[in-house]
Amino acid sequence: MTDYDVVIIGAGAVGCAAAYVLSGYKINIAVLEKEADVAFGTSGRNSGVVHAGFNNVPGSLKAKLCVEGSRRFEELALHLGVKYIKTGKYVTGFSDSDRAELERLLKQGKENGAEGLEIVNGDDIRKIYPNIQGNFALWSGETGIFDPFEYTVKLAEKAYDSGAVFLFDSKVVEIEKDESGRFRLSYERQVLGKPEKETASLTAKAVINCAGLYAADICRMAGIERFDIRPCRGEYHILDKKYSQMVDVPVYPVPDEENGVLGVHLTPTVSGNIMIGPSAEFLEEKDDYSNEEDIMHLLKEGAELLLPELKGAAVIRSFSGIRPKLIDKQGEINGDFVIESSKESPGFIYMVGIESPGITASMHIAEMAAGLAESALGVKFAKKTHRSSVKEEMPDMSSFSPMVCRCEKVTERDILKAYDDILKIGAVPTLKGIKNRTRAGMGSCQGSFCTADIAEVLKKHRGADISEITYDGPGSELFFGRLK
Amino acid sequence: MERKETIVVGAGPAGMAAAVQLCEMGFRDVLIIEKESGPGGVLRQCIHPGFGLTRFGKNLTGPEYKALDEERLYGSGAELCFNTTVMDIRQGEKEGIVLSAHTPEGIKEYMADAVILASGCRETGRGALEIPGTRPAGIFTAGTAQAMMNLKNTKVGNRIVIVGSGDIGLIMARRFTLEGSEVLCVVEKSEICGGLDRNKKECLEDFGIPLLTSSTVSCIKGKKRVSAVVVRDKDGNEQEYLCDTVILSAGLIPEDSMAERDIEGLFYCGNVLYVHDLADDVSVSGEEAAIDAAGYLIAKMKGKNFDSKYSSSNVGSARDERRAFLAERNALKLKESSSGRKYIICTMCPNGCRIDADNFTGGRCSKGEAYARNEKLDPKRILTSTVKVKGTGDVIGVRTDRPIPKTLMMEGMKLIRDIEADQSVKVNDVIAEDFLVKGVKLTASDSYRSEKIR
Repeated sequence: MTDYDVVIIGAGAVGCAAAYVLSGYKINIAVLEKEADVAFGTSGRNSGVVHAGFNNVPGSLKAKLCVEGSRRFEELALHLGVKYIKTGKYVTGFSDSDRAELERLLKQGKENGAEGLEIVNGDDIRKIYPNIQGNFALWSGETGIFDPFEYTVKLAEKAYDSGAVFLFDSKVVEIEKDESGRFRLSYERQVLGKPEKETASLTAKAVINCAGLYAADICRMAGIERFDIRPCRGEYHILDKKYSQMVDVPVYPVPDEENGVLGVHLTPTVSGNIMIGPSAEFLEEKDDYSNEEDIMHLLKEGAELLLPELKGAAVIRSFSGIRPKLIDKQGEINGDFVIESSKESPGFIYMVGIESPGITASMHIAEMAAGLAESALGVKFAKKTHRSSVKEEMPDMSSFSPMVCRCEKVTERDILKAYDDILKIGAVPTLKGIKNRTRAGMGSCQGSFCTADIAEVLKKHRGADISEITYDGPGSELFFGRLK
Repeated sequence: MERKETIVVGAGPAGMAAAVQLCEMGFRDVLIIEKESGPGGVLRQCIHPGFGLTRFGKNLTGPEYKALDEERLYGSGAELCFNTTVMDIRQGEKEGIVLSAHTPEGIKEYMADAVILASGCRETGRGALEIPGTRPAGIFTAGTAQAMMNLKNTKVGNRIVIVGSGDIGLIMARRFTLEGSEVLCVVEKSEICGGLDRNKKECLEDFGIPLLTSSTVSCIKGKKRVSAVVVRDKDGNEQEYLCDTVILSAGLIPEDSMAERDIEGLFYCGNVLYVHDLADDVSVSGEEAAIDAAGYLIAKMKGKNFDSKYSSSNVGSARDERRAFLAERNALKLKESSSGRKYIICTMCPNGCRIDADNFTGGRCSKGEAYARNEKLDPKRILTSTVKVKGTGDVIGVRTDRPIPKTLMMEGMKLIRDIEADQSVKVNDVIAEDFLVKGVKLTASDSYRSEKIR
C-alpha cells in the first residue's frame, strides 16, 4: 500500500513517539527514515537525561512540554518497559555570579512548575558525594536518567505492533501536492548490492516532519523557507564501568548562556558507565560526527573540575551528537521548539529546533502533532478501542545460550533476538543496531572480542552473508567477503 | 554449589600449563573452566611461527603449540568445563573462593580452596587510545583482524594503516601483505618498536613496511568506512594516508575485571598477571603459579601462611616490576638504535642476539654466527598461511616444515591459493610435498573441526 492518512518523516525519539500516538487511532500511518534503524541521529547521541524543566524560559513551549514530560516520564518508562532511574541532579557553582545564576534557575524552575528544586550548600553535597566540587548547587530531585536507544526502539516496536509501517533507508527527496490535495512524497533507497539508488513514492493526507537536524530541509521541500537549522556538535567521552561507583547522579556546571547549552557535565547511564560531555561547537556539515583532539582534552578538564577523582580515568569510547539549533533571521539562536501546522501547505505539520529537552518532551510533542494533524484535516481521529497487543515472543530462557559479549554479558540468544526485532519493524540489521539493543560491544573491550563472534552468529543462525554485515547501513560494510 | 579443590579459569597456554602441572604434582580435584568450546585461547588464531622455541626447542605455530599442551591436558585427569564464562570471583563468606559462571546448565556457583586465574588479556581499543576523528566501519584491533582472517576466512581490508607496533600488529602487517593487502605504515608513538626485534625484522623489514616512530594518528577520516588517517610526527608535521582499514595494536590490558583483588588462595598467571612477550613464558608462568598454588594448599592444611609472587595480593608489585623491566629494556633498545652499529638480529630464539654484520660475532651461542652468515647470503623464512578446506567455506593453518628462501614467499602464497585440505586433516598432516623447493613439505598446523568454534 502506498496511500496513508499520515506519514511521519524521521524515526528518532519524536518521530517514533508520533508513530506511537497515531497508531492508537484507526488511521493508516507510515514512518520514513533515511537511516537503517531508529535513533541513529540526535536521539541516540545525547546524555540520556530526563530534564526537570528549570533551564527553559518561562512561557516557552520547551518549559511547558519539558515539565509535563518529566512528570509523566516514570509512568511512560514503566509502560514501555524502559529502564529509568530518578537520580536527581546537581548544578554546582563556585562564584557569586554562579550563585546568582542558580538562584535565577531556581526561580525560573518554580515558575515553570518544576518540582523538587532547592539550593544546597557544598557540605550538603559532600555528605553524600565527598568528592563532588562546588560551593553550592541547585539540586533537582525530579531529574532522571534513561536509555535513549531503548526508549526509541520500544516506541517504534509498539507503534509497529499497532499497525504503523516503517520504511528505513528511505530518504525523502521531494514533497509535492497532487490535484486531490494529497501529499506525494518521493524517497530514495539504497538497495543492497545495487550501485544505483532507487526512487519510490507514497501519498499521505497529512505529513509530520520530525526530521531533527534535517527538519528545515524537509520544510523547504514543502515550500516553507523560513527556517535555518545549524548543527551544533556535542562531544562525549564514556568511561569504563569501573568508575561507576564514583558518582551515580548527574553533575552539571552552571549553564553556558551564550550557546544555549548546558555545559560539560557528568552523567551516569542506566547501564553503569559515566559519560563526560557534551561540548558545543557549530559546524558546517550536519553529519560530521567526529571528535576533535582539543575538545577531547577539554572534556577531561571539565570533568575534573566537577570531580577531581576522574583525573586520568580510562575512556572506553568517545562519540558525538549534533544538536539541531534553530537560528532566527537575525542569526541569533531561537531558544524554543517550533511545533506548527503549515498555513501555506495545509496538512503539513512540522517540528523544528527539537533539541534538549526534546526526548523528555517527546510524548507531548507527539500528542501536539497528532492534534495539529486532526485540525488540519478537519477530522477527529477515531481511537482504537484497544491497541492490538502483540505478545512479545519470549525466547526460551531455560536452554543454554553461549556468551558472545563477555564485557556486557550478552548471549547468542540476545544477539539473535535483536536481529529479529530489527527485521520485524522493517529496519536494516546492522552491528550498531544490535549494539544499541543489546549493549554487545559497548563494554570495556569495545567489541574487540565479540565483533567476529557476532558476525559468525548471524552467519550461522540467520544465514547472513558476512560481507553484507554493515556497521550502520549501506557503505559501512565491515568486511570484504571471503579471503579464499 | 559445586566444590573443587582447585579451579583454573581459562584454558589458554597459561591455564593449560597450570592444570597439567597441578595434576602432575598429584592433585586430583582440578577443574579448568573455559569460555570457548575447546582449549587453546588465542593460540588457535596465531598461525605464525615463533612458538615453542624455549619450551619445546622447536619453532612451532600457535596451533601446533596448542596441540602439544592440549594432548597433555586431556591426559592429565583435570576436569574440563567448556562453554563456561566466569562472571564473578569473590572470597567466600566463611571459607574458600566462590565463582559464579554462565554455564550450559545455567548460572552456576563453584567453590574452591585455590583458584588460578589464567584469563589472559584484551586489546586496547580505539576509545582508550583516544584517537580523534570519526568512527566509521574499518577500525579493528589486530586480534579481531587475525581471528577474522585466520579462523573465519574473511578479508578485512585492502589498504591498511597499523596503529601501534605491538607484536600482533607486526604479525598482522606480514599476514596482510602475504594475502595481497597493502600495509602503508605502522605508526608508533614511542621512539622504538614496541614488538620483538624478531617481528620487526621478519614482519616489517622483510616486506619494506615503514615503521613511523615518534608518530601518532591525529585523525581518522571517513563517514561510513575509513577513508584516510592523518599521521603526525614528533615535529608536528602531518601526512594523510588514504586507506580503508585501521588496525590497532597499541597495548594489551590484563582481563581481570571479573575478580576482586586480594583474595586469599587466588593466583594470577600468564597475561592476566602482566603481558608477556612469548607464549612459552606464559606457559612457564602457569606452571609456576600452579606450584605455588599447591604450596599454598599444603601450607593451609598445616595452618601455615604461604606467600607467592603469583598471589592476587602481589599482582600490583608484579606489574610494577614488569614495568620497570620494560622501561630498562626500552632504554637499552633506544640507546642501541641511535648507536648506528650495523648488525643482524638473530631470530633462532627470542633472545634476539645482535650479530655483527661484518665479522658475525656477538651471538650468545654458536647458532648466531651460522644464522647471520645465512641471513646475509641466503635468508630463509618459515612460510605460514591458510588453505581452503574442501567442501566448506573454512580454512586451516598451514606451514612449511622448514625455512624456505625469503624470495620465494610470495610465489608460495600463489601456490597456496590453489591448494585444498581434506576435512579429515589433522595437525602435522602433509598437505603438499616438494613445496617450492624439493624436500620441503607444507603441513597442516591445526586439526579441522567441521563444527568450528563459534
